[in-house]
Amino acid sequence: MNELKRILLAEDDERDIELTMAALEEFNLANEVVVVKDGEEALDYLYYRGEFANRLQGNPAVILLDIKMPKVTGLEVLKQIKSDDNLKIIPTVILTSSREEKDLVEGYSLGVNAYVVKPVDFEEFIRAVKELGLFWAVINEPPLISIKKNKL
Amino acid sequence: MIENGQYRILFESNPYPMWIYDLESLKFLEVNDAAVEKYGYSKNEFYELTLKDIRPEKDVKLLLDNVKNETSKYQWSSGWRHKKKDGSVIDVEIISHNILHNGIKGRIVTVNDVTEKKRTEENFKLVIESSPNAIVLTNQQGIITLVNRKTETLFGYSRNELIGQKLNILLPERFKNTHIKHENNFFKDPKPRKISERKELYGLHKNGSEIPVEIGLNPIKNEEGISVLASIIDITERKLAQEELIKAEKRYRTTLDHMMEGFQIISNDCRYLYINNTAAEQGRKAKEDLISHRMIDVYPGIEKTEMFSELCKCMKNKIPFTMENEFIYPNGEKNWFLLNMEPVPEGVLILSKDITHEKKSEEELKLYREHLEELVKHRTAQLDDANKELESFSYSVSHDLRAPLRHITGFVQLLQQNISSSLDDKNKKYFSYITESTKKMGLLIDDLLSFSRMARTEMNENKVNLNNIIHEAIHDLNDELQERKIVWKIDEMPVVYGDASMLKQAYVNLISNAVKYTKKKDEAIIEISVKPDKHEYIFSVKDNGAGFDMKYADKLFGVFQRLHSESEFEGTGIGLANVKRIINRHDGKVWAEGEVNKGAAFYFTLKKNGKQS
Repeated sequence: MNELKRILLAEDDERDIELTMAALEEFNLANEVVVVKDGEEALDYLYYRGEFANRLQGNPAVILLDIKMPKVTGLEVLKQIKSDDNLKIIPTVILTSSREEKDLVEGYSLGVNAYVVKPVDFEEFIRAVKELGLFWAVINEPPLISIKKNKL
Repeated sequence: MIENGQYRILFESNPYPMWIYDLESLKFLEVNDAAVEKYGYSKNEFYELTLKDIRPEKDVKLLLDNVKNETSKYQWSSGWRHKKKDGSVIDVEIISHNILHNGIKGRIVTVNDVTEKKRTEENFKLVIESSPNAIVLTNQQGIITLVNRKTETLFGYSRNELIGQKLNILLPERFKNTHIKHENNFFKDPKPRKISERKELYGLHKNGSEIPVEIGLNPIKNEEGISVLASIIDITERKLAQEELIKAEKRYRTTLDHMMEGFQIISNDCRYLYINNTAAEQGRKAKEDLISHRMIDVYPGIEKTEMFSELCKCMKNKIPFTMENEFIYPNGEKNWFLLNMEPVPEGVLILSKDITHEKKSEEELKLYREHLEELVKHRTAQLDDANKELESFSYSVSHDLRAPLRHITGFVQLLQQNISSSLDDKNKKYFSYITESTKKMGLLIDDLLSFSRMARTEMNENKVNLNNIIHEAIHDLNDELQERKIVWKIDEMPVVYGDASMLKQAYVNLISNAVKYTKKKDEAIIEISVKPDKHEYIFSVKDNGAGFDMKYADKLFGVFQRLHSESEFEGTGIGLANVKRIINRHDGKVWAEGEVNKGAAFYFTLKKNGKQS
């Protein structure tokens, strides 16, 4: 699938990663998923730092952020992304267990593109992740600049 | 007989009127020039007249009687009245002698006109009589010779009872002895004097009572020697007034001495003129160490205080002044006083009130207030911390508790997918149990979170139209209403004051309960009503469903309390607890009535005029 774009998944919980991956696999979206374990790694990836210093150029097609992560939280990563002219155009989704309204409000006020509460029910969860993956990675056309860089 | 020569000259040029008359015919035989001048008749006219002609008509008989009885060679008599040619009458004294004039028995008369003297005497009597003071004239022997009307009324005697009596009659027994001495002293040095100043004097009334008097004494010299004119003033009234004044003065002094406030008068040269007990106590000095001493001698350094300069200002400008003053005692101790300075003629009057206690209380209060503010700040911070903790706790619950649950369901389902072909029905059932249980747990977590959120979220109070709220609540429950036959009986609802989203949540819970517990009925009847009370509305949601046993009524509103089994009616047991919390936060009450299989009714109240009333 040529249209398949890289997905950056920032999630510290191994099990959630595995479940998310399982869900993405159902639609063959798993191959291009880059998994980072905390907010710092997510930023390292985005800014070509640390172990990602030599990664392929280009921004991910979509970023899936857990909120509660070690070191740097998902909201802090979101804040950084949305304040960087180069990064703020990347569709960013918060994927979290938290139903707290304040998280929701903060997420949206920082410019998040979607806020998805991870359902407890696995089927719902798969459905949500699938829809996310499809919507952002397949259906939704990323802005041109993002495509260009991806092709580099 | 008047010879020409020296005697005639003596007769003719005598300044007093003189004449000789015939004892027989009472005819004038000789008159002198002074008589001519006094009476207005010429000598020739006189010789035509008799003595009767120079008398007022009335006096003639008296004259004749006197002449008839006149046997003495020499007579001095007074009280006569003579009529002059012009008809006017004069009072006269006469001196007369028998004389043989040209062989005729006659009398030679010298006349003294005492009209003036008599008028003076009468005036004197009149003055004495009308004096407002009692006036008593006594002679050198202490015999009363004259009294006036006031004397009669003052002492209760008539004047006849007094005249001729010893003055003693008017003296109380105890004065009688000393009086003799005083009398003698007076006559040794007769001059006007007042004898009330040295001691108290009393007169004795006829009825025995004593009269306080003041007496002025005047020596009067007359023919009989020296008399004493005593002018007696009844000072009963004055004495009473004086006593009253003394009493009042004593009363004021006692009041001043014992009043709770300090009272002192500072003289214009800054000495203590008067100081009451309290002021002395306030100053921690004995009165005698203060009175007439200078302030700067009693309290050295006082002249440098603000109080002292205000005192001087008050003295100079005569303007009252009030101040709070911290007085520093010589030993360094301090007390606060409220001072009222009032200018008076002799200096400044200072009223002082010890306000040390009040000041201390005030300061303590200030300290407490500050402390309280700190305490409130501290507590608020604590509360904030607690709230934050609770929030992060809820957050953890929300986030962390759900994650393992999600993992359980996720992996169970993945596992089920992977091995489903090899699973028998029994094991498939077990898998479904696990899935259901985790779902249930997810619901419980969500409900618990919403319940705790209900307690923490700030109320957003406004006017709320309950008609709309109920409409929305029923709309939200649409899914549960599918394939149900429900008869709705909904009253017209009032507008109340409260948090719209919370009230909606309450109605959602109550209505969904009613819907749930009537699910076994062919036709459910749900009544949503309101009944206005005095200050509040009573709202109710009634159904004809499963109902409950009233003995468990108080358990209904507890968290996770359920009166029905999960298999009978699903639910987490949080809905009514939420309703109670919402209504409580609106200062209302909730209660329920029910009967098994006959339905349930849930009631709650809301204030008519909002929470504030």
